Amino acid sequence: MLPSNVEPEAVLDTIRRLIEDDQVATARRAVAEAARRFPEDPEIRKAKRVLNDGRSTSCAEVEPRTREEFEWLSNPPAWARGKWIGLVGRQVVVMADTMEELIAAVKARSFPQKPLLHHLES
Amino acid sequence: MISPTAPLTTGALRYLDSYPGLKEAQPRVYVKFRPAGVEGSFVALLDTGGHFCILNRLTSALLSDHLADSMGLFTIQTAHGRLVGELYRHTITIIAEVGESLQVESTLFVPPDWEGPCFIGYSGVLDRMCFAVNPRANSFHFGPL
Repeated sequence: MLPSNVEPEAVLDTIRRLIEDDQVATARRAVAEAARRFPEDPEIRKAKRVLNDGRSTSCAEVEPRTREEFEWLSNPPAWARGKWIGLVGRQVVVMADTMEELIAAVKARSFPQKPLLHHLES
Repeated sequence: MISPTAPLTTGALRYLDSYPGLKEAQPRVYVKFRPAGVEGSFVALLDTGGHFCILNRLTSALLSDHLADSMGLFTIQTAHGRLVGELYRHTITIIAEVGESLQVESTLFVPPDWEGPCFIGYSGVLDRMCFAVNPRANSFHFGPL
Protein backbone atom coordinates (compact mmCIF):
# COMPACT_ATOMS: atom_id res chain seq x y z
CA MET A 1 0.00 0.00 0.00
CA LEU A 2 2.94 2.38 0.46
CA PRO A 3 4.54 3.89 -2.68
CA SER A 4 7.83 2.26 -3.59
CA ASN A 5 9.96 5.41 -3.29
CA VAL A 6 8.48 6.79 -0.07
CA GLU A 7 10.73 7.96 2.76
CA PRO A 8 10.14 7.17 6.45
CA GLU A 9 9.10 10.73 7.29
CA ALA A 10 6.38 10.68 4.63
CA VAL A 11 5.21 7.30 5.89
CA LEU A 12 4.85 8.68 9.40
CA ASP A 13 2.84 11.62 8.03
CA THR A 14 0.57 9.16 6.26
CA ILE A 15 0.11 7.12 9.41
CA ARG A 16 -0.78 10.26 11.35
CA ARG A 17 -3.36 11.30 8.76
CA LEU A 18 -4.91 7.87 8.76
CA ILE A 19 -5.25 7.81 12.53
CA GLU A 20 -6.75 11.28 12.62
CA ASP A 21 -9.15 10.28 9.81
CA ASP A 22 -10.35 7.40 11.98
CA GLN A 23 -8.72 4.82 9.71
CA VAL A 24 -6.81 3.08 12.44
CA ALA A 25 -6.85 -0.38 10.83
CA THR A 26 -5.32 1.04 7.64
CA ALA A 27 -2.77 2.96 9.71
CA ARG A 28 -1.71 -0.25 11.43
CA ARG A 29 -1.30 -2.03 8.10
CA ALA A 30 0.83 0.88 6.90
CA VAL A 31 2.91 0.63 10.06
CA ALA A 32 3.45 -3.09 9.52
CA GLU A 33 4.57 -2.52 5.95
CA ALA A 34 6.79 0.40 6.94
CA ALA A 35 8.43 -1.69 9.66
CA ARG A 36 9.36 -4.32 7.07
CA ARG A 37 10.77 -1.67 4.72
CA PHE A 38 12.56 0.45 7.31
CA PRO A 39 13.36 -1.89 10.19
CA GLU A 40 16.05 0.38 11.62
CA ASP A 41 14.12 3.65 11.58
CA PRO A 42 13.55 4.58 15.26
CA GLU A 43 10.28 6.48 14.71
CA ILE A 44 8.75 3.69 12.65
CA ARG A 45 9.84 1.17 15.24
CA LYS A 46 8.17 3.33 17.89
CA ALA A 47 4.97 3.54 15.82
CA LYS A 48 4.93 -0.25 15.46
CA ARG A 49 5.49 -0.68 19.16
CA VAL A 50 2.74 1.78 20.09
CA LEU A 51 0.12 0.83 17.51
CA ASN A 52 0.71 -2.77 16.51
CA ASP A 53 2.60 -4.72 19.12
CA GLY A 54 1.20 -5.93 22.40
CA ARG A 55 0.00 -9.06 24.08
CA SER A 56 -2.04 -10.04 27.11
CA THR A 57 -1.10 -12.24 30.02
CA SER A 58 -3.02 -13.44 33.04
CA CYS A 59 -1.94 -12.38 36.50
CA ALA A 60 -2.94 -13.59 39.94
CA GLU A 61 -4.22 -10.19 41.14
CA VAL A 62 -7.91 -10.38 42.09
CA GLU A 63 -10.17 -7.80 43.75
CA PRO A 64 -13.30 -9.52 45.03
CA ARG A 65 -14.64 -6.28 46.52
CA THR A 66 -15.26 -4.71 43.12
CA ARG A 67 -18.94 -5.55 43.31
CA GLU A 68 -19.27 -3.65 46.60
CA GLU A 69 -17.50 -0.67 45.05
CA PHE A 70 -19.78 -0.65 42.02
CA GLU A 71 -22.86 -0.98 44.23
CA TRP A 72 -21.68 1.92 46.40
CA LEU A 73 -20.96 4.09 43.33
CA SER A 74 -24.39 3.35 41.91
CA ASN A 75 -26.07 4.78 45.02
CA PRO A 76 -23.59 6.99 46.88
CA PRO A 77 -24.53 8.87 50.08
CA ALA A 78 -25.46 12.53 49.75
CA TRP A 79 -22.32 13.69 51.59
CA ALA A 80 -20.12 12.15 48.90
CA ARG A 81 -21.75 13.88 45.94
CA GLY A 82 -19.46 16.34 44.22
CA LYS A 83 -16.39 14.76 45.84
CA TRP A 84 -13.37 12.98 44.40
CA ILE A 85 -13.17 9.68 46.26
CA GLY A 86 -11.21 6.49 46.59
CA LEU A 87 -13.09 3.33 47.53
CA VAL A 88 -12.07 -0.07 48.78
CA GLY A 89 -15.22 -2.13 48.98
CA ARG A 90 -17.78 0.14 50.61
CA GLN A 91 -15.18 2.10 52.57
CA VAL A 92 -14.10 5.56 51.46
CA VAL A 93 -10.33 5.51 52.09
CA VAL A 94 -9.55 8.90 50.57
CA MET A 95 -11.71 11.91 49.70
CA ALA A 96 -11.07 15.39 48.34
CA ASP A 97 -12.89 18.44 47.04
CA THR A 98 -10.77 18.77 43.90
CA MET A 99 -9.00 16.43 41.55
CA GLU A 100 -5.64 17.99 42.43
CA GLU A 101 -6.21 17.34 46.14
CA LEU A 102 -7.12 13.72 45.44
CA ILE A 103 -4.01 13.23 43.33
CA ALA A 104 -1.83 14.73 46.08
CA ALA A 105 -3.46 12.50 48.70
CA VAL A 106 -3.05 9.36 46.57
CA LYS A 107 0.61 10.11 45.85
CA ALA A 108 1.36 10.95 49.50
CA ARG A 109 0.49 7.56 50.92
CA SER A 110 0.41 3.89 50.12
CA PHE A 111 -2.75 1.83 50.45
CA PRO A 112 -2.96 -1.79 51.59
CA GLN A 113 -5.40 -2.23 48.71
CA LYS A 114 -5.42 0.11 45.73
CA PRO A 115 -8.61 2.19 45.80
CA LEU A 116 -11.10 2.72 43.00
CA LEU A 117 -10.79 6.42 42.23
CA HIS A 118 -13.79 8.34 40.93
CA HIS A 119 -15.47 11.72 40.82
CA LEU A 120 -19.11 11.80 41.85
CA GLU A 121 -21.30 14.37 40.18
CA SER A 122 -23.11 16.83 42.47
CA MET B 1 -9.59 -23.28 13.99
CA ILE B 2 -12.39 -22.30 16.33
CA SER B 3 -14.01 -24.49 18.91
CA PRO B 4 -17.29 -23.88 20.74
CA THR B 5 -15.93 -25.53 23.86
CA ALA B 6 -12.38 -24.17 24.06
CA PRO B 7 -11.85 -22.17 27.26
CA LEU B 8 -11.36 -18.55 26.30
CA THR B 9 -11.45 -16.70 29.59
CA THR B 10 -9.61 -16.90 32.86
CA GLY B 11 -11.13 -14.05 34.84
CA ALA B 12 -14.43 -12.25 35.32
CA LEU B 13 -16.07 -9.33 37.02
CA ARG B 14 -19.58 -8.03 37.44
CA TYR B 15 -19.82 -4.90 35.30
CA LEU B 16 -21.75 -1.67 35.81
CA ASP B 17 -24.30 -0.94 33.14
CA SER B 18 -24.34 2.82 33.72
CA TYR B 19 -21.66 5.35 34.62
CA PRO B 20 -21.88 6.22 38.32
CA GLY B 21 -23.75 9.46 38.71
CA LEU B 22 -24.91 9.62 35.11
CA LYS B 23 -28.36 8.57 33.94
CA GLU B 24 -27.97 6.95 30.53
CA ALA B 25 -30.68 5.99 28.09
CA GLN B 26 -28.87 2.88 26.86
CA PRO B 27 -27.17 0.15 28.84
CA ARG B 28 -23.39 -0.01 28.70
CA VAL B 29 -20.61 -2.20 30.00
CA TYR B 30 -18.33 -0.49 32.52
CA VAL B 31 -15.39 -2.41 33.95
CA LYS B 32 -12.55 -1.75 36.38
CA PHE B 33 -8.98 -1.32 35.18
CA ARG B 34 -5.62 -0.03 36.34
CA PRO B 35 -2.76 1.44 34.29
CA ALA B 36 0.61 0.08 35.40
CA GLY B 37 2.34 2.26 37.97
CA VAL B 38 -0.80 3.96 39.30
CA GLU B 39 -1.85 3.43 42.91
CA GLY B 40 -5.52 3.24 42.07
CA SER B 41 -8.04 1.82 39.65
CA PHE B 42 -10.74 3.36 37.51
CA VAL B 43 -14.05 2.75 35.81
CA ALA B 44 -13.89 2.45 32.00
CA LEU B 45 -16.51 2.01 29.29
CA LEU B 46 -16.02 -0.90 26.91
CA ASP B 47 -16.23 0.44 23.38
CA THR B 48 -15.96 -2.31 20.79
CA GLY B 49 -16.43 0.31 18.06
CA GLY B 50 -13.67 2.55 19.34
CA HIS B 51 -9.92 2.70 19.24
CA PHE B 52 -7.32 2.58 22.00
CA CYS B 53 -7.62 2.98 25.74
CA ILE B 54 -8.65 6.60 26.22
CA LEU B 55 -7.90 8.08 29.62
CA ASN B 56 -9.78 10.81 31.40
CA ARG B 57 -8.24 13.78 33.14
CA LEU B 58 -7.80 12.09 36.52
CA THR B 59 -6.21 8.96 35.11
CA SER B 60 -3.97 10.96 32.75
CA ALA B 61 -2.71 13.10 35.61
CA LEU B 62 -1.89 10.11 37.84
CA LEU B 63 -0.20 8.24 35.00
CA SER B 64 1.83 11.10 33.54
CA ASP B 65 5.03 10.33 35.52
CA HIS B 66 5.00 6.74 34.23
CA LEU B 67 4.60 7.35 30.51
CA ALA B 68 7.49 7.39 28.09
CA ASP B 69 8.14 7.52 24.37
CA SER B 70 5.11 9.32 23.05
CA MET B 71 4.25 9.11 19.34
CA GLY B 72 3.35 12.78 19.57
CA LEU B 73 0.14 14.78 19.58
CA PHE B 74 -2.87 13.50 17.69
CA THR B 75 -6.42 14.80 17.21
CA ILE B 76 -8.69 11.78 17.33
CA GLN B 77 -12.39 11.44 16.64
CA THR B 78 -14.34 9.77 19.42
CA ALA B 79 -18.02 9.28 20.17
CA HIS B 80 -17.78 12.42 22.31
CA GLY B 81 -16.11 14.60 19.73
CA ARG B 82 -12.52 15.28 18.74
CA LEU B 83 -9.91 14.99 21.47
CA VAL B 84 -6.28 16.09 21.41
CA GLY B 85 -3.71 13.94 23.18
CA GLU B 86 -0.64 11.76 22.89
CA LEU B 87 -0.36 8.10 21.94
CA TYR B 88 1.68 5.72 24.06
CA ARG B 89 2.18 2.06 24.62
CA HIS B 90 1.51 1.10 28.24
CA THR B 91 0.23 -1.86 30.17
CA ILE B 92 -3.22 -1.81 31.72
CA THR B 93 -4.76 -4.49 33.91
CA ILE B 94 -8.39 -5.50 33.60
CA ILE B 95 -9.18 -6.27 37.22
CA ALA B 96 -10.92 -9.56 37.92
CA GLU B 97 -13.34 -10.14 40.71
CA VAL B 98 -12.85 -13.91 40.35
CA GLY B 99 -10.24 -15.95 38.53
CA GLU B 100 -7.27 -14.03 37.18
CA SER B 101 -6.83 -10.42 36.13
CA LEU B 102 -5.45 -9.66 32.69
CA GLN B 103 -2.49 -7.47 31.84
CA VAL B 104 -2.75 -6.03 28.35
CA GLU B 105 0.07 -4.20 26.57
CA SER B 106 -2.13 -1.49 25.09
CA THR B 107 -2.22 1.59 22.91
CA LEU B 108 -3.12 4.46 25.21
CA PHE B 109 -4.52 7.79 24.08
CA VAL B 110 -3.88 10.40 26.76
CA PRO B 111 -5.80 13.67 26.38
CA PRO B 112 -5.03 15.86 29.39
CA ASP B 113 -8.44 17.54 29.52
CA TRP B 114 -11.05 14.84 28.88
CA GLU B 115 -13.61 15.05 31.71
CA GLY B 116 -15.75 12.06 30.79
CA PRO B 117 -15.17 8.37 31.48
CA CYS B 118 -12.20 6.34 30.38
CA PHE B 119 -12.75 4.10 27.36
CA ILE B 120 -11.40 0.68 26.53
CA GLY B 121 -11.59 0.40 22.77
CA TYR B 122 -11.15 -2.46 20.35
CA SER B 123 -8.03 -1.42 18.40
CA GLY B 124 -5.01 -1.68 20.63
CA VAL B 125 -6.74 -3.23 23.66
CA LEU B 126 -9.69 -5.56 23.20
CA ASP B 127 -8.17 -7.04 20.04
CA ARG B 128 -5.33 -8.36 22.22
CA MET B 129 -7.57 -10.46 24.45
CA CYS B 130 -10.52 -12.83 24.48
CA PHE B 131 -13.69 -11.51 26.06
CA ALA B 132 -17.36 -12.27 26.48
CA VAL B 133 -20.38 -10.71 28.15
CA ASN B 134 -23.15 -12.49 30.06
CA PRO B 135 -25.97 -9.91 30.22
CA ARG B 136 -28.08 -12.07 32.48
CA ALA B 137 -25.37 -12.06 35.16
CA ASN B 138 -24.00 -8.59 34.21
CA SER B 139 -20.61 -10.29 34.02
CA PHE B 140 -17.63 -9.58 31.80
CA HIS B 141 -15.28 -12.50 31.14
CA PHE B 142 -11.79 -12.19 29.74
CA GLY B 143 -8.55 -14.03 29.10
CA PRO B 144 -5.31 -13.91 27.11
CA LEU B 145 -5.17 -14.69 23.42
